[in-house]
Amino acid sequence: MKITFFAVVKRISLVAALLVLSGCAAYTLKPAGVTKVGNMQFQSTMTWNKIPSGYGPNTEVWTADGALLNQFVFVSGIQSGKAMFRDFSKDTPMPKFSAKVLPHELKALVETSLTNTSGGKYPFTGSNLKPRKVADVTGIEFDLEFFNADGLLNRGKVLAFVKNDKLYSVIFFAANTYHYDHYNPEFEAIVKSITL
Amino acid sequence: MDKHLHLWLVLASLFLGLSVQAETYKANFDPGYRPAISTDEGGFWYQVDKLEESIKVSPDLVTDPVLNQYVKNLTCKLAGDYCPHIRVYILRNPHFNAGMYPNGMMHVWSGLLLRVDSEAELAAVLSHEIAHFLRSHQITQWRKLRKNASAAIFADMIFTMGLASLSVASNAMAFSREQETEADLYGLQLMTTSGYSPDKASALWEYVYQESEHDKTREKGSTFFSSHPKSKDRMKLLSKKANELHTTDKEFKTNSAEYLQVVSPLYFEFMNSHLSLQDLGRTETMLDRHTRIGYPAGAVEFFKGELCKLRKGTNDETLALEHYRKSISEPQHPPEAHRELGYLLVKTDPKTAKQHLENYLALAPAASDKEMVQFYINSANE
Repeated sequence: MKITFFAVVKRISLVAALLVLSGCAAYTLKPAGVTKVGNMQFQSTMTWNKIPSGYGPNTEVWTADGALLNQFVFVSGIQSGKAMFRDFSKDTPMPKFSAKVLPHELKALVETSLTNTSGGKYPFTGSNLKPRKVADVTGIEFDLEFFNADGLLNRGKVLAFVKNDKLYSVIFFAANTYHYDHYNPEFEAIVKSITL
Repeated sequence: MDKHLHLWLVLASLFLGLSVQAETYKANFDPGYRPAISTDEGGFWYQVDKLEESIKVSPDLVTDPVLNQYVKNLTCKLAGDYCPHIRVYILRNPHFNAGMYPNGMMHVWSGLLLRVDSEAELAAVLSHEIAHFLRSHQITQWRKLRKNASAAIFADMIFTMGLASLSVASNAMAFSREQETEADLYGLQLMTTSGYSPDKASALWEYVYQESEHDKTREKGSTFFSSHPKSKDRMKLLSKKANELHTTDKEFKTNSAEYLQVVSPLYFEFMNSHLSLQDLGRTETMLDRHTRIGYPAGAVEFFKGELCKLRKGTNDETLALEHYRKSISEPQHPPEAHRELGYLLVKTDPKTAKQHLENYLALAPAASDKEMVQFYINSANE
């Protein structure tokens, strides 16, 4: 059987497509140091893996041991009238960000956006809301808690702020057992170093 | 010939008479039954037992002793001699549902407790679930499913998928319409035997139907409706049967006040969990009902304010302010009503906003968001 050039190209394309679909090719190492997500700059103190973000444009996701065990979600430069994340379910559309919001209203925006990534099945609950100065503006910081699909307790922390009418957020959550305590200091290190 | 005709007429009238008289149901379950663990059925029971163990330590388990005792007592009253075989677990889940498992485990969800208006309506749902159990519907359905699926598929489903398989099996095991109707009628028998007004069964379904009419997703989204007859059909049947039962001289009770007294202390917590569903149409219908039932007005008005805040319509901010103000005018109101009033007034009336925020901190000095509230108080001082 004669193998044509086009047949070879077709096979190579198929393999390439499979590799992209499998996601393996999209993992990249993020060594400790200064980095940027959109125009939000910060410094990490350890090596992370950047993984494909299912949350939508303007987001970036990092994990150390796998997204089910720990992850950082960076949200950078959401414009007024747009949602933080893409819609995951038509029954629970993502709430829209408005540049007019007061700082405390960002808590409900982040909680609902995270809850709606599961179509509302697994509610994220925030507590210990407090103001937080970051990049010369007052934003908010709060603790996060939710049970995932397997009933595993996850805890986390959220920073959210508005600068120049755009929304920025750093969301960290991890399995309560071991992972939360282990990676929690990294949240503080990142938040402390944010500049825009 | 005449003789035969007469006999036929007697038999026909007897048959007709029996068919209009309420049928009396009896339990047919075997309290001592336990399938061997080596069988497929034993495997299924093992999974159900495992689920019960996990429920006992679940963070969603409502542990309030007064509410638990109340629901257990009611279950016992309805189940009579079969009470020792049933174990009740109240779960924090905002959907409208209750469920019974073949090993005697019963789940009652907080969303159900928020929708029934009295002990009699709760008795209607519990009786329905007890009736499924006493008529062995779960096991009958399991065996039917087992017969239709290959043994290999079933073994895979039960043994390799763990607890996740249980929900797959539960969905596949949805009761037949006949079983549901039997549970409705047997349930009606159990509740009236205990003296509860039979009207309350159809009244509950009438409300549930009304609530679903205000939901964009309608009944399809509800776990309960995926396995139960449409509420309109069951409402009609139950209403017809209740009318028949009312022809007797028996006095029936509703016990609304008793029910409210027990559930009211948990109302705030249950409604907070309900709001996470973001189902604004249903929430509005529920809150109107809560006002009529007589839940503490301070809490109901607070949640009406929350609903307006979430809805974000043109006039909703004004409406939210009105509801929060009504809430704080009640002697018993959640401190959060002051906080929300304060937040809503921050831009337009900072002085009043500050007062409300200070009131909030005075009423809830250990509030976890006190630093945030203090930030706004300080901003108003600048």
